[in-house]
Amino acid sequence: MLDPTPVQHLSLEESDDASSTPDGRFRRLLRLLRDVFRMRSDQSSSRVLFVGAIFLMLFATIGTRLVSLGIAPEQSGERSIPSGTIAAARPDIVDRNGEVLATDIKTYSVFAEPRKIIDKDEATELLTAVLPDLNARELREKLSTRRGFVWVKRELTPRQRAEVHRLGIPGVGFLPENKRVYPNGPVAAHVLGFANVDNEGIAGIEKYIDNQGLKDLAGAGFTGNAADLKPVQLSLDLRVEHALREELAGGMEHFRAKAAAGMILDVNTGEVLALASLPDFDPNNPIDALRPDRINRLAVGVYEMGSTFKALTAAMALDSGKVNINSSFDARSNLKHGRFTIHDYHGTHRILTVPEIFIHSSNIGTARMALAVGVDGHKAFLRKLGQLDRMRTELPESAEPLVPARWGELNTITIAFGHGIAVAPLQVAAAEAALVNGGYLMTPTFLRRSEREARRNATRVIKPETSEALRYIMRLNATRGSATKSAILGYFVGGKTGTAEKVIGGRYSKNRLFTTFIAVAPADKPQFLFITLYDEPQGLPETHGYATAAWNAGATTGKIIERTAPLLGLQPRFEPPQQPFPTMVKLGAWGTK
Amino acid sequence: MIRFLHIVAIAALVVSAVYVYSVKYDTILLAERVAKLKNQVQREKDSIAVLKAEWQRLNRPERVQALADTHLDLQPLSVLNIGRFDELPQRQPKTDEIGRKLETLGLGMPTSTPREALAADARTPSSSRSR
Repeated sequence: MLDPTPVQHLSLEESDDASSTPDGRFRRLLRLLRDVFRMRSDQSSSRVLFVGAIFLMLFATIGTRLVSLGIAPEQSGERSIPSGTIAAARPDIVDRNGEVLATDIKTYSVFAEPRKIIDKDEATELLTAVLPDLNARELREKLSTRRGFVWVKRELTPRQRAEVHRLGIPGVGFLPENKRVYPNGPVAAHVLGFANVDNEGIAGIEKYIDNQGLKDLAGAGFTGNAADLKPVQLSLDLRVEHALREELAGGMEHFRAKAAAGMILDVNTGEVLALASLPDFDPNNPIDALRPDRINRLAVGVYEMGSTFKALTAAMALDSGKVNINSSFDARSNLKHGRFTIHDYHGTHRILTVPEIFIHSSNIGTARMALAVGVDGHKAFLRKLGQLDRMRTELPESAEPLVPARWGELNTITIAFGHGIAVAPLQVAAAEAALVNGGYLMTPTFLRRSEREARRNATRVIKPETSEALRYIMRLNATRGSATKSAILGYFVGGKTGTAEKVIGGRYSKNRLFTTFIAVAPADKPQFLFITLYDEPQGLPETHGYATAAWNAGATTGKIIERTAPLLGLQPRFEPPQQPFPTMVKLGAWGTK
Repeated sequence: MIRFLHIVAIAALVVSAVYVYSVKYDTILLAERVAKLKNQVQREKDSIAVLKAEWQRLNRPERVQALADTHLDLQPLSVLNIGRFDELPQRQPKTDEIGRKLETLGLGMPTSTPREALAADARTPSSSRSR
């Protein structure tokens, strides 16, 4: 019930001085207004109650409407796309000079909203007529679901888009998406990796970028636009990468090898300037990227490295202090251990000093050097150089080295010359870079890094004098030993060959070889390390039928150095450097006189 | 007085309503233009990205080398082609070469032109022969 309203009350008063003058009317209006807003204690409680009831009703109506809107299925024209369906943007990848290695372009994908398609059979028929590579039955099934959103086809060509648009099927529309393109094709494919149709990194640096937080950003919906993302700069040089890949491809064909791989490493910063592994794949169309012969042989393959491992043994022996550059070892007769006999490939049958062992690549001499250090010392040294553990770089692909479970004296003998342990070539390259750069071991990187930054995270593994000795014997090997084919005039190259017999059916095979070559340039103050490897190269008439490393990997490395050194900014010198190895001369090492 | 005030108030109301509506429509129009321009900028950016990718695609070392091999007469760079600054000869002290040559030929002095001879026989030998 309502109380007497102010209006009724007012009308009672009005009767007293009923005047129809404008002045009286104005005063009446004023009084009425005053009465409406006047709060009287006897009437206000019921009035407040009344107003409260009205507001309650209003809020109840609004609330019910909200709940009904929330529960009811979506009826409006707004479409609901599940977040994360659209391919998010990725940052560009550029090389060290800013050349684009991977970038995003916009494409259009066609989607359907099955609930809104009236005639599903007709829609299927029309769509498959325009997009013939669609499976009609699959599409019909997709369209007959009750889902709000299905993809019909991703990444249309502009022509297909126009054709689908012309069909004018209701409930079929387009969405712009980002598509990853690799303009350089297969060049640097193993480093870049690739991205799938949703623009998620699947392999290589692409996956690394995702793991660095891009995925979380994309999940939060922040990666619609590639322009907002800073390009990722790699340490690679596109020109050098191309030259390396081309030389390797030529060499692989020439020597009829199963596979070839190569890498150029900056020994002072640990940056990988080029990395190629053949056969490779096109990241734009990575259908065969996962075939076992397309692996990155430098990071994922583990191999018995053969004689290139002797550099590590020599460094260990010299650094231990038990052996110096003038120590000599007996290589007159084969080394017998139990029922095994160690032979030399190029037998000299005399007593050899350390440089001679290195340039003649004497298995016996190297094994004796390792024995002088002992099994435990050998193991500790290889662990320090990172040869016994999996090496992790930015690339997600890596491999665990194969190390003997029980490591006895025989293992030390064979591992000394690179048999009986299988490691990734990238790992060996990192270790050899440490042997020549003054003794700093640094993990190779595919991102740009300054020398100071690299030094900060580097660990000293050998003494600077040992490093000089290694540079000296590698240089000696290039002038008088097996590495002469890579000794390009002017760059003061040093190098080491390595030929390992592959294990076929549990036995070492004499004619299936794995050849490697490691070179440093310039040897007096190294800047770059080159590694080249061939899997099962064949002997050719011009190599006199030999398939050992010097003839194939060595020759190819020479070509690579000659071609890439100007690109790398290596200055040729035509007069030999003054006193390149002062300590070696002081010690009177073999070959200095 | 009151009526006048009412009229003024209503007029002010109408004017302000019209003004507000015009401002609102202007804003909508401008917002539409902004959206259109933003769209256009995005389209331009997208096409720039496509062109950049295409540029890199066309300039990839593989293709450039294939073209250079067929159309250019260039050889691979050899170590011997690389020169250095200290191989360049030293710059010679600056001299007046022409003046020195004139001096050695004895032509440094001003010469008197044989004016009369010229006036007498201003013909080339060939033209005289043809006569």
